[in-house]
Amino acid sequence: MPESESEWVARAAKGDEEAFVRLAAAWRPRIWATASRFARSRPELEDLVQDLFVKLWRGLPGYRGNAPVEHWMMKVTVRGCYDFLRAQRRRRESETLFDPTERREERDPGDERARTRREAWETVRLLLERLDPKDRLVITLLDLEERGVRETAALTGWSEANVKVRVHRARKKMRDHFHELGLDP
Amino acid sequence: MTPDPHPLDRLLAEARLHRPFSETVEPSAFGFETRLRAALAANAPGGFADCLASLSWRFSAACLPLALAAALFLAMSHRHSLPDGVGGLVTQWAGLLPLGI
Repeated sequence: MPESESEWVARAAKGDEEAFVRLAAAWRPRIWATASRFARSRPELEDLVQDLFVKLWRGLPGYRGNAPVEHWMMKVTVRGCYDFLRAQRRRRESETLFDPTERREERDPGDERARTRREAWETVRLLLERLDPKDRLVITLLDLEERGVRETAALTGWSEANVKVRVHRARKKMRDHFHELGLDP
Repeated sequence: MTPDPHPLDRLLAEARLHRPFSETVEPSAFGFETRLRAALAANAPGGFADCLASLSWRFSAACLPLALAAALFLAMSHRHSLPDGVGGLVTQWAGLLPLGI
């Protein structure tokens, strides 16, 4: 029975489904957390996460082992989320989803702090919806997930200079939308 | 004195702490495994289209000049035997068919 993650990875890369399911269970919280910034409803998120696992399963035989497997896994996840944003963009423009489970999570209605955070997230999501997929991706990785410029560049495959320029422009666009929507206090 | 942060920065700082669709209400691991196994089975690679889709754009980009070079080589090596015009081409290819044309 393999003990280390690398042994499970090696087995999964050779087509061992059991090994992959075990890896997937370990990776799920991280993939779920990142993907949740892009989906608008729980069913949409579950589909996206499922898709990402299929991409990982298919890509695993091509994993060369010259970078940590976690880095490779996050790279596939980020690119999968970007593909998802591009595919969903047209639909997003004409449709708004409401997810009742989001509000059910707030168990204590008196939890003012949690409510403030949720409302902030809903406003940010509204602004993110107005950005193009690349801008949205870079803001999510840098400003919401607090990844550095270097890590964002590595995950997206863009140069560090490109990441800096893009995030600067994306933040400006977000501020413009913020004012357009009359969200100034 | 540092200037006040933009209201959007404060909003982002709050939003960062929110966990959308938090894992606390995620279905059980059993449900997750079942759905994952079903998805893997439904997406098992195998066909020619899958094989083609797995080729990277780098591979395609590398193949394009090779394909052009091969086409050019074939055209050059047959340039004296190439027929004139469309009529000549049809006659030449018709000769290869096992038909009494």
